[in-house]
Amino acid sequence: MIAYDVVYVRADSVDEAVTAWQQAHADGLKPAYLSGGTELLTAARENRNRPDVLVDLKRIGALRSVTESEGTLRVGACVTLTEVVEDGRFGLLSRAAGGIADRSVRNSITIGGNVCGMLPYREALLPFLVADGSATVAGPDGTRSETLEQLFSKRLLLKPGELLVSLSVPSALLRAACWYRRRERDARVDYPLLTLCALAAPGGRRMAVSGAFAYPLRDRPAEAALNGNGSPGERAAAFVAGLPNAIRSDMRAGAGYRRALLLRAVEDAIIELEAGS
Amino acid sequence: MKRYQGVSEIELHINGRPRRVTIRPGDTLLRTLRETLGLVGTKMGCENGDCGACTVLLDGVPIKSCITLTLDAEGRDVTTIEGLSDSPIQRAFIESYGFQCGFCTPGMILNAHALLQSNPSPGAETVRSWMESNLCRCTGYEPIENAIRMAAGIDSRE
Amino acid sequence: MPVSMSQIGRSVRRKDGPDKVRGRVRYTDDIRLPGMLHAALLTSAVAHARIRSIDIEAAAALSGVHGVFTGDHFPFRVGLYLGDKPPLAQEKVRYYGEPVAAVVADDERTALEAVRLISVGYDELPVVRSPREALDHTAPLIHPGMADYVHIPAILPEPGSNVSHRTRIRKGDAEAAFRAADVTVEGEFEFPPGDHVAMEPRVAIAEVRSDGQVVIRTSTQSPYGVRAIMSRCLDIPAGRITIIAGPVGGGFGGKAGIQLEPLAYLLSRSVGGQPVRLANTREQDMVTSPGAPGLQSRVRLAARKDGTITAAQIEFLFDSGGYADYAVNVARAAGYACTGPYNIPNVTADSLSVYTNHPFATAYRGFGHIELSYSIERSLDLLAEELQLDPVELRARNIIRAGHATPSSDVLDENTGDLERCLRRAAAAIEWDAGSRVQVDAHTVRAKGVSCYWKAPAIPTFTDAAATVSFNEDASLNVVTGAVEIGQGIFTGLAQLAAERLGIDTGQVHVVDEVITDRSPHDWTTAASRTLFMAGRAVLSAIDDAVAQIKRVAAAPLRCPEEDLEVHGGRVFIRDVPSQGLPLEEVVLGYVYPNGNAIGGPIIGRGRYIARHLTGIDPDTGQGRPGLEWTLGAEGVEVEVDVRDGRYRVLRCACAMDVGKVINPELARGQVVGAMAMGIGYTTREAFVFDSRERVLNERLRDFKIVRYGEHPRYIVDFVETPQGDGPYDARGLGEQGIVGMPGALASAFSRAVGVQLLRLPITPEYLWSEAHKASGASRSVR
Repeated sequence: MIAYDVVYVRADSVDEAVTAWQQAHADGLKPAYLSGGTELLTAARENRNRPDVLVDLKRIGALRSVTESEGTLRVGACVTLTEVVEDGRFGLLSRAAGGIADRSVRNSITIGGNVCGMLPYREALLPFLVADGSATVAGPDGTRSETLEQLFSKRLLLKPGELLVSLSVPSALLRAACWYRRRERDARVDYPLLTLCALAAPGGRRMAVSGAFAYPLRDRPAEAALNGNGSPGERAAAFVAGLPNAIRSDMRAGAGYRRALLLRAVEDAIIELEAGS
Repeated sequence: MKRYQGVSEIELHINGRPRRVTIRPGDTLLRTLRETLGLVGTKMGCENGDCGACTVLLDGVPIKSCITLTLDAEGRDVTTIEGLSDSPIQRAFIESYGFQCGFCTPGMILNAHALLQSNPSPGAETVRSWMESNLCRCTGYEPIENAIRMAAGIDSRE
Repeated sequence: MPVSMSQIGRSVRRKDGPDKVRGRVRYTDDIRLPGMLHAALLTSAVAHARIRSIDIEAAAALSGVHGVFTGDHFPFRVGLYLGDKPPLAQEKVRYYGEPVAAVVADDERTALEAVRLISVGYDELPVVRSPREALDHTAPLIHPGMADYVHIPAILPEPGSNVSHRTRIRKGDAEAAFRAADVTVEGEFEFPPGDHVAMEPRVAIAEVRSDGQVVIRTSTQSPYGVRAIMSRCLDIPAGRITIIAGPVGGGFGGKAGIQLEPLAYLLSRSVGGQPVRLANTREQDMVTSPGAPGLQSRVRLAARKDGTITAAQIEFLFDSGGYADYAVNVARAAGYACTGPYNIPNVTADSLSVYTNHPFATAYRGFGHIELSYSIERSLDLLAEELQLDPVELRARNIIRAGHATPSSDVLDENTGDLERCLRRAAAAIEWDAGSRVQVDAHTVRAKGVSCYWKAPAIPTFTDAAATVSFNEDASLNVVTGAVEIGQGIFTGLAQLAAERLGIDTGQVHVVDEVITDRSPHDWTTAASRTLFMAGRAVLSAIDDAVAQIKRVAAAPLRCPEEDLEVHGGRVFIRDVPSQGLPLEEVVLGYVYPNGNAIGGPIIGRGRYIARHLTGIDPDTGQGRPGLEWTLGAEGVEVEVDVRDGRYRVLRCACAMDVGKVINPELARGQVVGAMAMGIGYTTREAFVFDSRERVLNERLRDFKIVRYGEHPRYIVDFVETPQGDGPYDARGLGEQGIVGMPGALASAFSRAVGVQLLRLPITPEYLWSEAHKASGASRSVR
């Protein structure tokens, strides 16, 4: 329950949504885009986030579908995680999305909500990171498409008032060999200590990680180690050593355990991707 | 575009019947069902999307009504526990002793009902992936598993 | 409607089933009273602080707010045994989550918004992080005013310290036995506090009627306890308080004693008596309301080479958190049961309830016995390792039996269960003899563990129950007791007992499912696994009373002595000429002769029970008879651990328990399986995580994990039936016991898997990984 007075705007198009956001902003109010709402509602109940205007994107048809054309698969930002899992065309995404929360919450959470949320995990982004995906965003300055390499650094670099329209990946990579692992503290329904998505692309192996760090991470320079010489264990160690980021330690697990999970996951990914190729 | 501010009246479709309700935009479906419509079979266990006691069906799909705005249900079919009577899963819960205190039971049953509607004879892994959305503190889940198997016509003796 | 089949030992379906599966059961928070106002709480953001200032002005000015209240408004101290807790914090806060201010408003959203507008200034004080730290003479005193607190005589607070109670057990001569021992082992164990996580958060709706009557609807296991404590602590005559307790959405001890009721009442009184609903959020239910105590313990065992245990020296330090609540009595129960179900002739034990700056603790399923059991069972494993003995055989050698004396030197009588049989059956169920540790592959180990447990109800010596029985035109019965349905299926069980006594179907027995203290007869509390036993005895006694009255009335029209009559199957008839009799319909509301004359009148059976032969325990030695009936049992578990990352699965959990007599097999199994499931969570994850200032980090169910669907192992439940002669149809209590041995058995199995004796809880994958990691160098084996 949101205990304070909030305004709700149900947009029928992306333009309407952007305009509503701008209008609220111009009025000195705090607007927020709303999709699945699971994160926003829990935060608002505890006053950790108190937007004044909710701009609901869920009924915008253009954001609600998964389409494939001209060698690109596009996933609309308001497609739910369950729908993505069941769509199945992007296998790695189906697995990553299927690991998030629990099913009846996945029936509400959308891809866009997960990727643009405040939580550090945002696991639905990992498959797009390893597949050199792109994002289409819309905002006051119009619509733009950028590669995630340009648009993502710890988080999607959206300008004020911008919303995510879709994420896309080249169709050619949909059937590339891939690998996924998620580890939790104990119960499966929990935030991850580690989520690893790996992809064997023509140019080499790529990996993106969530849970181990305070944000989703794909580190291209470190990936060189994955494709080098040495045993899988040595390559995994080199890869992890090459990540410049501090491993997270929190109430769920210490950094040492997360590092051990990460090392093993990377090693297993290398072994299994090599065995498959 | 539709804009809601302050108190408004909207129409919901609940258990096959239209219901006009007065809401505020920040109201959750859980609160509207319980506090405005008196459909108190839907339970409030955490109001944080974690326990599943508030599970209802939106167009047949189980969702947690504590983290769903009432406005999200506008124009969609809402099924609460009051909308089920004498369904196979309810009978199976009784026969399998699938509850003790009963507080998680409405959400548990609606989730299991939706599962069996979408997949009349689900495998164990499918059942797990659906049913792990709901917490139960009393039963240890074994009799709930038995109830689902019974309702699905799966021999529970393995 | 004669029924030839016995109602005892039958899985009669639950009477509350049809309503529960349709969502039609009305729990306390499903009630909306006309004119009801809503309360919301501001809780402490820090664990230990002096309250410098509270500014309520903005909150009070908000439209729709009826009042804003702080500790100054309610100068009371409330407590179950020890009156140490103000309804709202006064002067200082003693734990993270303690209520500091309350708002009453027209609706909940207004109350919540008003709470946001209250600002509190805290001067933080040094925090006490553990019971051991609390005992240090340099530790801050959490209750400097302890000397002035009112308490019951059985509780022994130690003013000037952080000790709210100490139970001493002195049996035999432990020191001498240790000097003479072949071997001794010592272990230190610990785990943090946790929570019950009943699915229904606590709620109370209080009103003060115009005539002064205080009426409270509450989710409680203890309606009469609430009445008595409110009367004592708030100075209201008991007869001016009515407590209404409907079905409860899970208790596990967390709704025993006194909860939200005093504050709800004070708030209602402060706004002119209008009904006020005070409902916990989940977060408040986790930390603001009490949970499970933490523990630090130390156990030393002395034994002969053959494994016979000769002495034990035991110290239990219960972490009661900021207030004492039930923890003082938990420490007491753990004291007099301190050895677990083993025959140890020489025992020295000190069991303390100690204040810390943690959320406070109350009764939790097992009531001190999980904690003692974990400490003892781990110590037995240390002893088995030391002596290179099989852990099952070591336990079998020391099992307690009829004729043996408890730590209180209470000699167990003929009603004592057959624990050895339970142990053998539990071990057989997990195929202990096929190997307690099996390497599945290079990284995967399967390992097993066993434990024994015991538990008697921890109750006052005068614990009681009562029942009335009245009849309807169809000769069906209305049974009224003070028992509360908390999920255990008590009304089904009581109906079976009543039906058995009358030789009728359970469908003819209507057990009234709401307790109202001014019309339901007194019952101590629905807790301590004693309700079927005691309320059951009361119901049987009420039926016997009704039967005697029926015979008295029927003797005249049947023209025979009362003693020739029998009541069975819906008839009263002459025992040796069964064809001569009357249907009960013609008697239970009065018999009417053909000419219109009537005799008798409505039959009302009255029944009661009060605990037999219980005594207090000596404050210096703990000697006495505190335990009514001991339920004994054993558990065996099998786990599979991947030693590379500590991930595990619990494969099998077996429990064999001597329950005297099984009244309803499915309900009994349900209690045991549910308790074992809780035990898995208790062992592996259910613990508060604190930051450096002792603030709880995992107060949401998002972060405080309980076992989920799909994690459940295969459960094997086996009942042994050594009759409890004074139990209803020979039954004894079984509701809590299934959890008691789980941490010990699981820790044993996990220890065996990773090759290191694990001494603390929770046993997480990370803990297993780190211990396995450390052990991988050394080649240590755990038997």
